[in-house]
Amino acid sequence: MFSWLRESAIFLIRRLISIIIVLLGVCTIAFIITRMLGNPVYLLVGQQADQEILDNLIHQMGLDRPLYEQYFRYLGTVLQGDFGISRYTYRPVLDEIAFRLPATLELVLAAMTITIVFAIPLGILAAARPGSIFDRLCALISQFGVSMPNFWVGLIFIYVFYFLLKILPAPLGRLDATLRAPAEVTRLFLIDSIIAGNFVTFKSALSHLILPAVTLSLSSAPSTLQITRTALIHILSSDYIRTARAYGMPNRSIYYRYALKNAIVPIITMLAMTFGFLMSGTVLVETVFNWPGLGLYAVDSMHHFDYEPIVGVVFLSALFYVLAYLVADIITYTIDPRIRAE
Amino acid sequence: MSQNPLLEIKNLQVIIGREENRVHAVRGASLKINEKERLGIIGESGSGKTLTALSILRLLPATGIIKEGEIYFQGKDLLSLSESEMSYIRGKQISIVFQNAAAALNPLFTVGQQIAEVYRFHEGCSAHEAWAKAIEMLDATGIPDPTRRAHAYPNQFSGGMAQRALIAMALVCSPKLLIADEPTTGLDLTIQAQVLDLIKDHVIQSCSSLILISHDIAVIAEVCTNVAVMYAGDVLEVGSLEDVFQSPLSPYSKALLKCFQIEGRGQQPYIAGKVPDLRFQYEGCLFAPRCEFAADICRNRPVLREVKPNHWAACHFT
Repeated sequence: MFSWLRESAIFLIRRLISIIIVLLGVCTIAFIITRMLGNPVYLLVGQQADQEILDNLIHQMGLDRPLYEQYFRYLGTVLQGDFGISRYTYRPVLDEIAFRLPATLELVLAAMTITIVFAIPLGILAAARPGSIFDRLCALISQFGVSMPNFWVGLIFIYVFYFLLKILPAPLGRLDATLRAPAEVTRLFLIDSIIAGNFVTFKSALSHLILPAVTLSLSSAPSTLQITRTALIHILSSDYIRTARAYGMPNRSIYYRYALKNAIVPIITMLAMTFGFLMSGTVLVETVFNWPGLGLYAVDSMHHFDYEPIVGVVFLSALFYVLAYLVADIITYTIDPRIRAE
Repeated sequence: MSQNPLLEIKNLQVIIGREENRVHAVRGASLKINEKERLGIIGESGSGKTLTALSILRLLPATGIIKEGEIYFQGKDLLSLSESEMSYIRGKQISIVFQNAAAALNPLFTVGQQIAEVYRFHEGCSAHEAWAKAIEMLDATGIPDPTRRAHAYPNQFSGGMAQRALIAMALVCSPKLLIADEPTTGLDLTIQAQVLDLIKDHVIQSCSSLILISHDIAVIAEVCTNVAVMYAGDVLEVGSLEDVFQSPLSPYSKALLKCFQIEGRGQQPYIAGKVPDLRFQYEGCLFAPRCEFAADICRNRPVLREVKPNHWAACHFT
């Protein structure tokens, strides 16, 4: 028992160290890129400023210090969660991110939910009879989903459900303009409105969320379906499944117990990847639906040559990526003894 | 072979593979095995030994189908049973030990769990009893410290231990017939002998029957009472161990035995020519192209007939 605890602790510490290394790498790349973009002072004050003001600012911002000193100072602030101040809005980047992250998180979690609820069961059913009509239908639908550009599908959805059918609201943010955000608990409107018991807000939040979430899930659900299917088919043709069959185990246990447990490992790993991918891939969907999330924030900042927010968003995306992988690693570690043995 | 055989295979034909890779892997093989008999099936790789064995349990891979033939077990035609009827035969009446046991065990379940679940499904007992039975079987197959090892996962077992665990799983319901498909391939020589003894002893003790598939004559001589020689998907000779090994009837058996008898002394003998391309159908004797006695009559396929009492061969010249 204690050896198990120790092994798990070693595993966790190793993963955490590798996470820190990855985040350090991201910081370094972000630092290099922002320095390569030129002296931020010129961007800040424009071309006409006189030399004295420029020198003052450069000194004030520490840009006259040696590069390594700048780097460590930068590292120190970033690792404290301080991404500086936006040169466009003059608000701390961290505050902006804290305000916009829940919107993106809600969107991504909704898309993940759709993916998990639909794609995984369909993949499981498709694998049961490869080549059947149902399997081919699934393949066709995934092919269709993959080949449609995200933003275009979003626009079609808006056209059909808002403009033609008038059953969903205009694609403007997370709530009707007349409503106020529910009391902050998780900052996810769907959950907070339930906690507040506010059905009107919940309905509005849901009707705003549904189209962008479905649109976003189109970039994750098809691959999830296909990977679930492929993993299961591969497992079902393995020696150990033949063994279970050879000793008379009923089909139901073979499929839903022996095979599925083996499929969990690749499926979880892929879901972690999907989550990281979606967290950093919401830009187009957020733009189409005017969703006040991180993607839109990053794009807006780029328009204004405002680099601090971009570094912040990139760092955050990386953070979510590694955290998702950490969760997946912990789950597969507990399921698969072969990983524990490594 | 006057008594009612435990298992009888009649004119089994198996096709495997898709489109241009379709292979007629088993071509009208016929076999019988009586109670308490230990039958060794010998043949080169690709001679249809394994597919014949898998056909008995109806475990052919997805691309394989049984085109023709009947397989009777205790008088019941296995090929006419439904899948669920078949699952009560598998593991309970007829069981199988595969080669490469490490891959044949589910990596995410403990060894004890896997054995216990087979027992529980067939015997309908409590989980507790099934677990106790699993430990008993691990003990019986010579796994040290079985109470603790039952909690181990297959990746924590060595190849020999995994093979023992698989044998425990195959034998947990005391099947009437055990099929062992190259059970010692890939194991160390010393462990090979132990595993063979384990299988042999258990079959003798439980008065059950055994089909042992091997390409190694020594392995079969060690364990079996009877031998069937397969070539290119057909059975060319069947008989008692002494009859087949001392006075083989079919020219193929003779050539095969010669290769083993002179082994290790100077030049290794071999059978000239090569195995026929199994994608095609042939009218005549399958061994004729390599046979020194081949004549015109060999253009017709010889049938397996009883040449001497209990000694069968498929050759026109016997």
